[in-house]
Amino acid sequence: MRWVVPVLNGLSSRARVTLVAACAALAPALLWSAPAGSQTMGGITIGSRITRDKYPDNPSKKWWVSYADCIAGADAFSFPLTLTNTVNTIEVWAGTEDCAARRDDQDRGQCRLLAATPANGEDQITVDVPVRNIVGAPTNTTEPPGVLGDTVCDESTDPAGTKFSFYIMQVNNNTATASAVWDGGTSGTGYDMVGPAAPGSIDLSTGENQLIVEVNGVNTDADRDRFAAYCVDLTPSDGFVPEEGEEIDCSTPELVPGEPARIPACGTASETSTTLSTNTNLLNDHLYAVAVAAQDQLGNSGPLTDVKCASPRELDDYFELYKRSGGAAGGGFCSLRPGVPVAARGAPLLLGILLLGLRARRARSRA
Amino acid sequence: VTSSFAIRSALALSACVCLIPELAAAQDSSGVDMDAPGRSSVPAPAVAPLPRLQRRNDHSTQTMAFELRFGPYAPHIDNGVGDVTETTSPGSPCVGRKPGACLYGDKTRYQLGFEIDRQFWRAPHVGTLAVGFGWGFTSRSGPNKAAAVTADATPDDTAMDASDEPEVPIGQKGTLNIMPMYAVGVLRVDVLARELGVPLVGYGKLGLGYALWWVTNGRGTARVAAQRSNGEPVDFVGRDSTFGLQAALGAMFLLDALEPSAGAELDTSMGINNSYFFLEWSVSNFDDKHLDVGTNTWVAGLAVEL
Repeated sequence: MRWVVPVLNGLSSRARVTLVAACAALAPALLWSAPAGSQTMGGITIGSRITRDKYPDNPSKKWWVSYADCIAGADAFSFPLTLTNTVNTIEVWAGTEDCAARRDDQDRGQCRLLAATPANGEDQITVDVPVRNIVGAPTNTTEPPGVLGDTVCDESTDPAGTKFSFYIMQVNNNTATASAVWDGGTSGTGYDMVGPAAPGSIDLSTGENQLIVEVNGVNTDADRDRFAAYCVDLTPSDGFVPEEGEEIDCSTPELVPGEPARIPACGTASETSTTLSTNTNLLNDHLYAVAVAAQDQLGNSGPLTDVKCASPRELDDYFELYKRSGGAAGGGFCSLRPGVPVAARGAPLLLGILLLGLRARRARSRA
Repeated sequence: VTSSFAIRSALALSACVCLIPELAAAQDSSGVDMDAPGRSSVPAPAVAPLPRLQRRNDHSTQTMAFELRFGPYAPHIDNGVGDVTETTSPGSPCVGRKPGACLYGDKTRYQLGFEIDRQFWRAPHVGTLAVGFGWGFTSRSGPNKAAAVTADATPDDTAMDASDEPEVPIGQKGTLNIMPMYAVGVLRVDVLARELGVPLVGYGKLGLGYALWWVTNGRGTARVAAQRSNGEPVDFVGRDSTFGLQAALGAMFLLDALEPSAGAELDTSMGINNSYFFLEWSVSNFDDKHLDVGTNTWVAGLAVEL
């Protein structure tokens, strides 16, 4: 910084005043960090630390709401705000068009009022918006929604979801006096409640503590991120042995073909794979009903395929048969057992030492 | 006894090929900078090269060889292992067969690998001597087999008797993975190519083979419950390593002969002195007490000398 003083000394007094004024004007912009994707109009600014209670597993969908988020219902987006004017109320709207302009219209178009919070003259305030409000707040109302039930989670039908921006407005005397907009930055923000289409059919094969699912009739679907298998143990706790010739009924209310899966998956595979192995915690000799659905990047399950059933069973792998047939090997790469020739154990080491020694000798002789 | 002899032979050969450069270095006392362009740190033969090679002025230093190797691989995993018997595995579909043949079948599987040699001496009118390291990988997979039925099991022991269910094929596959490696001395006899213009090089390799292997069963690394001598239960993990003799005989066709100008261009631009297609008969004779994952097989590939 030694160069600063001579430079300042070389300036005229008028130039110095201009420079100081410019620095003062730029200082707030340099010190305040706006969140990605936000714009400010008037006396309201959104702080850089927008948060939510539970983020999706997929970072590229950080600001999207899934069906599971909606059903859980406890998640909320929190907007820290700085207000420069005395404000009565803060309103949070969502829409795909300019909601600041639409708010005071008779027809509010796609804009929806998600939440309203009294500001009480504070200059720092945090507004929380529950995810069910984001999903289910009705259009064309001037009142914020109350506590919404989980039925709002089933109202959406678009597998691509709904993308929008948040409009945060300061309201005095029922008139919006300033606003800020946030669109979620690079990931965007919105909600997606519906999973991708189901594959055509499945075939099951068995394994030990595991079932293997072959997925057939897979069409291209941009919304699909992976396949997920859903397993329901049909064997009652007191055991179940079907009568001779009795046809086994694989149906279960937890897996309804054509309906989305609402239970945790028992295995997943990438969307390019047609073979899916379930988790390895299934019980041998228990009958499992299995169906497959596609999932999107948010984990939303699409409709299920037809249900098929099979039982994991105890199997022999190569190593088990090898050991039972008298094989002595195994136990680890570094295991040393009686009977290993000493020369075999030490040969690589001796060879290495020999090579290193000769190399050093050559280097010495060259020097 | 055979294994011990093989290992001693390999060690002796390795010691010989490593000591020879000391002799070579003693001969090279003319004060010529052998690393200079156009010179070879592999000492030249005592006689002038053949006329075809004399016309070329593109020879860079040659100290290395590199091989990209490919070939069928049928490990001798059933050597030293008995048949699956009704006594140990009652009801198993593998009864009367060896475990490897039953699980993995006889379908041909392949290995892919490489070898890198350090050439340190040129024997006049013969060829080059080198030490080399090779690495490869191969695997064999097959569906697991229906388990043996224990003698004391009754239908009531399980929640459902599998025989009463609809027939469902076995889809869970196990895999035997093998990573063969070796350290060998290599003699490449290139006198025909260098002095007589015949684009063929014969070679032999002898040394130590070493292989890592591991078995997966579709759920992870295979394990077998066993007991220590004191009765303490222990899991035997399905992985191990094994040593043995590694030897090979092969022939290389000098590809430069097909397009000499391209060969010269490769030398001047990339330092590749010679490029070859090769075919060899490779023998990996491993100890069957630790699973003989070795094989006797053909290997083909491309090689370059740098």
